[in-house]
Amino acid sequence: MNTPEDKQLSSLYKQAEQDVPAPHIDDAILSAAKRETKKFSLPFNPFSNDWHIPVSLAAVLVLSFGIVSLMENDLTSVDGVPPLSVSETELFQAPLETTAEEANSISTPSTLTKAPMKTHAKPSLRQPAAKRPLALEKETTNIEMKEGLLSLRNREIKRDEQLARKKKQQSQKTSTDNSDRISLAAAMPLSAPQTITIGTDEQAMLPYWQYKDEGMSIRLVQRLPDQTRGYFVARGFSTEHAELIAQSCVFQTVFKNISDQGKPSAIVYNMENWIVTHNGKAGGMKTREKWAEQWQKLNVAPPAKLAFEWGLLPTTQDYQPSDYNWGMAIFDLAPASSFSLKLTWQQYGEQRSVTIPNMQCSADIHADPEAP
Amino acid sequence: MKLIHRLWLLLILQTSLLMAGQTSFPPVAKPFAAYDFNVKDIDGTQYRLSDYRGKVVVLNFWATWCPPCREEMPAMNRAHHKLQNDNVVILAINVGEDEDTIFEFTGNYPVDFPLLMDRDGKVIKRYPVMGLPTTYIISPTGMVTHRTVGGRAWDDDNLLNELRLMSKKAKTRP
Repeated sequence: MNTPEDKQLSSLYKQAEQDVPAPHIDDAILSAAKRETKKFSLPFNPFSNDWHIPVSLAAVLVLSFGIVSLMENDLTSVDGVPPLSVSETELFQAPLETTAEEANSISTPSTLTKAPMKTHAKPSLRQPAAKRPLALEKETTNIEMKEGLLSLRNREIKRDEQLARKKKQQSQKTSTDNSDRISLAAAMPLSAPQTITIGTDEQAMLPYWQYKDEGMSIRLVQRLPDQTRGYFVARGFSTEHAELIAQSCVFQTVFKNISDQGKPSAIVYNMENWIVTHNGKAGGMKTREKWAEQWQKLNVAPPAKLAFEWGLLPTTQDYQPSDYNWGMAIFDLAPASSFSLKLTWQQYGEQRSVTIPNMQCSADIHADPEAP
Repeated sequence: MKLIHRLWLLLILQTSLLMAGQTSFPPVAKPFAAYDFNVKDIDGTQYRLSDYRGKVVVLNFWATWCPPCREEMPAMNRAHHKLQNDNVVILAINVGEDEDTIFEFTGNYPVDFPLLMDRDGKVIKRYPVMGLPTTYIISPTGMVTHRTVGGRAWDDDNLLNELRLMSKKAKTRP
């Protein structure tokens, strides 16, 4: 360390230290370098790792959403029969006291009535129903009951608030416009609006009543007794037997599962559960099975019976998304009777119902030939 | 990096699953053996369902008085022409009506596939039909696999491709 060479090296190092630029020069060089580095930052490289994180996050989100959607579809529509569930709210719309004209465009909250808790999974008569293991069924039902109670309470609070708001709006409303839509937006737990529309069917040129929500649509179009007479006489009925049908209040009906336009879900209904209220008395529809008994007693010819059977709306049916039927619905009431119809069906894992008020059977009009 | 690759793989799998789940023909809850009918068409020619084993059969139940049945008939006829080289056949069974009524109908709605007659309703009773029109898809092995209720746009390319796919799947099976 103390050799002459060491001393010489040490003095060389000391000289070299003096070659370092002054601190202010050093700072200037450094800041200039930083400026240049910023100016020439790297362009976007699709093969760099920068985009992986946001894309991965998006992938996770899409994945989660997709799996949840698949699970929901499995639960609601795969087998054509919704899973057993508890009806937390069964919705009844009290018959409106206003006439259709008076009700024009009045946004009317339907009366929401709590239904007793019950399980209901009524499979179609002929379709094989999918079964869940009993233990799973019970467990699911219990959970659904608890959830149902909680959400029912929340909805009751919300509904009361909505009713108060609507009442206030109605009391302020002094005039009506010409729209014939009755909004039932507050009636159901789902976000899509439910509407009952009254109007004139474009093809039949006769009055119709239509209910529509996010998953289901039903339109009932009046049929004139004369139309019904002609139709059934042309299909092998005697005039006497055709008259029986013509005098029973027939509607041409189109029932559709429109859930394919939104959240797909199967529909199951049983017309035996539909309630027809006329003059304060509740009754049922006259289904094809009830008519079949009558035709049997009256010895109606088989081709006529066949035409009649398939001409009616099915008594029970399950509709997958986008399925639909046309058919006659018979109310067993005299011509020109007015009545309300409470429809019930199952969709989205719950029982749903709506009452269409102030429906009207067609009068038995016999058009006289015009005088020349 | 491994995690990212796994996520990508999952995403691809999930997309395929979703695509596979999107079928326009709703499957029946439980496939069942199609009833092997033997009926005549309006010209008196006899048709037996089992003669079509090895092909996908679109079996439509209809009537001339049924509006959606009438509505879907032209589309069904176009589908028949488009599917002629695809091992898929369309058969329509009229419920309860006679030759004259059906013949008159074909004057307004030309149909080139067989229009079969079920005058006494015996065939329709052997299928779980609740309303008209109802159409079943029968696999080449004679199993009813899908059902639609109400009319459809049968000549829609997606539906046709589904039928073609069913036919091809059956061919590739050992």
